[in-house]
Amino acid sequence: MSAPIYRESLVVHIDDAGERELVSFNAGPAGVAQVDLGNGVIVQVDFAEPSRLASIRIEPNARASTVEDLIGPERADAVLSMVPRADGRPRRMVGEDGPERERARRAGPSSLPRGTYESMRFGRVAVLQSMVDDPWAPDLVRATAALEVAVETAGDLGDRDSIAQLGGSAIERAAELLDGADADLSGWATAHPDVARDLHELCDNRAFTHPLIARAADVLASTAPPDHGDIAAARSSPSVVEMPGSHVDLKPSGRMVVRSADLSGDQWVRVVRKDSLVLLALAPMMVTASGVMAEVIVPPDLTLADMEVDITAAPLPVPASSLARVTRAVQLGRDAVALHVVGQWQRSRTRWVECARAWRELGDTTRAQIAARYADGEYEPQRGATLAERVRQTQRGG
Amino acid sequence: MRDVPDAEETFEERAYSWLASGAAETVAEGLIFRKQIIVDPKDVIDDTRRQIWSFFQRNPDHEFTSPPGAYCAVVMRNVVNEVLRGFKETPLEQQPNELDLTNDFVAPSDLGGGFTDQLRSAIETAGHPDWVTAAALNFVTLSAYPGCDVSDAPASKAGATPNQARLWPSLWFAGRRDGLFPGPDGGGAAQRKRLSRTGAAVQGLVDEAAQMVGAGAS
Repeated sequence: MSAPIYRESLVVHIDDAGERELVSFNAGPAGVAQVDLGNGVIVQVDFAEPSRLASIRIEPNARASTVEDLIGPERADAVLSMVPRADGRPRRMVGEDGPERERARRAGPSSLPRGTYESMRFGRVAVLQSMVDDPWAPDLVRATAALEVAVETAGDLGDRDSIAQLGGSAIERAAELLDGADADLSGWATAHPDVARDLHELCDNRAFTHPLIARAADVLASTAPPDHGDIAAARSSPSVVEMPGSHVDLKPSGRMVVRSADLSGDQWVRVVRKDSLVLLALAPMMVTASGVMAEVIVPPDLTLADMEVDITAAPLPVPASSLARVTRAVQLGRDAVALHVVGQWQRSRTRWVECARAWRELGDTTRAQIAARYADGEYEPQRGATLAERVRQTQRGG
Repeated sequence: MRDVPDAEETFEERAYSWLASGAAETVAEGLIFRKQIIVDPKDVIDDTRRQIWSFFQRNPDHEFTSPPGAYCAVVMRNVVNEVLRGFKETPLEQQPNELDLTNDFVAPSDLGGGFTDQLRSAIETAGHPDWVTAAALNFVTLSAYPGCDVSDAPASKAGATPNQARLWPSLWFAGRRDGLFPGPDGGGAAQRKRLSRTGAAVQGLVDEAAQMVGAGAS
């Protein structure tokens, strides 16, 4: 029997339907990464510090062996046979970290225990799986993350059946996503040879016998190396870097082209009607061979005098629903972590500041303070970059 | 919450009744406390109601095996659990395989500029991701002004419905480009499914906004 992944103290909530939720830490400002182990057990870890368990949800029909993989057979048996209190209050289950956690709690969050080797490995799987599950992430990013899940779960974590199964389904998912991303794989690989080389190595793994993964490996291997001179010339083209501010060009057919000297990516053009401030169009600034630009469609009966054009990183208003605002604060934190791990520290810091502000506006001073400490460099995300995040970075324009 | 359901009430009506009850608020408060997040329980209930409404629209003949309160509580739990993930995961079985674009959307310009502005405002404030909002705004503009120059964008094949013809450039100018559009060979099944899924998100927002301002597909 493999060692349990989590040994910490847990608070056990049991609801009327018999579902159990084992809570360890409250997630930080970047929210959680989640992995569904598929046997009625779902694990959430902290996104910025994934060795830290946030919670384990156990459905009434969950497979006991999956719970045992996570917290060990004795504690699994205790949790699964536990009956709810008459007053509905949760029960506490003390773990091996009892005295250590108590000391840490008194000393403040920076000294909380970082977790075991197993929890660090499993946390990385959870982060990768959260990238696979994000329906709006680019297919190539999701496919890369799925391949990394398969690799991570093939190691010693894979001694546990529930985690080995996760790896098997990740290979199928990667193949499906690579099929969707296949159309532009060659062009992407030409533009980003270093990351493409690493992705090729990942796809070329002998354990991946799926024909769609083999085909992707072939495409990556056969991609011609780029002409570095041309790319360097395009990036330093005077028409891009010497352009002051932005330039707006409106054509009679309703096409507007907005050019900017800002190469930082993640910028949007927002066009509103001047008299009513109604939003007419949004378009992302994209890095092209001729510079950073956005192509916008606007009503052709309007002139530039009728419209206001703005370039912004936050193109939409803060949502009214507190639930949507929490999601937005979490997105800022996730973005900050992703930027930090790929070495974009200044942009990461800006995101953490925005994240802290978002939590503060929600009245969540604890998460706001933690985000501010990340922004100040007092805390750092406790994990390295995944290849999926490096692939994502190539698609951000940064 | 009523102990004995009215025999005349549908499952849907009983679900909405439960969501309007004090029991729903108690469950929401418990879930929020467990996650230690500061959100208004009414927002959790509203989001749950929206998700249930959406499910009923997609699956009008679904046979429910659990009582309405239990069903709503599970949906509510998922709403709260997802909030700290930073995105909403759409299970594969809830994603459309083929997007139905056979009904044409009412061109807003036919109904006057005031309506168009209301529609745009509803799209902006509906709380969808940036690119979905951008594509939906493009879709409205192209419905109202079919003569806009979108010649750079990929075009759907001959015989496409007006909605299909609008959707491709709407997505293109919202920045959804890489690998999304099938080439002359029609593309692979995965690519078509991805385009369908992406288009459904945009069409869903346009429909949602149209319902908010009192109009819909003809």
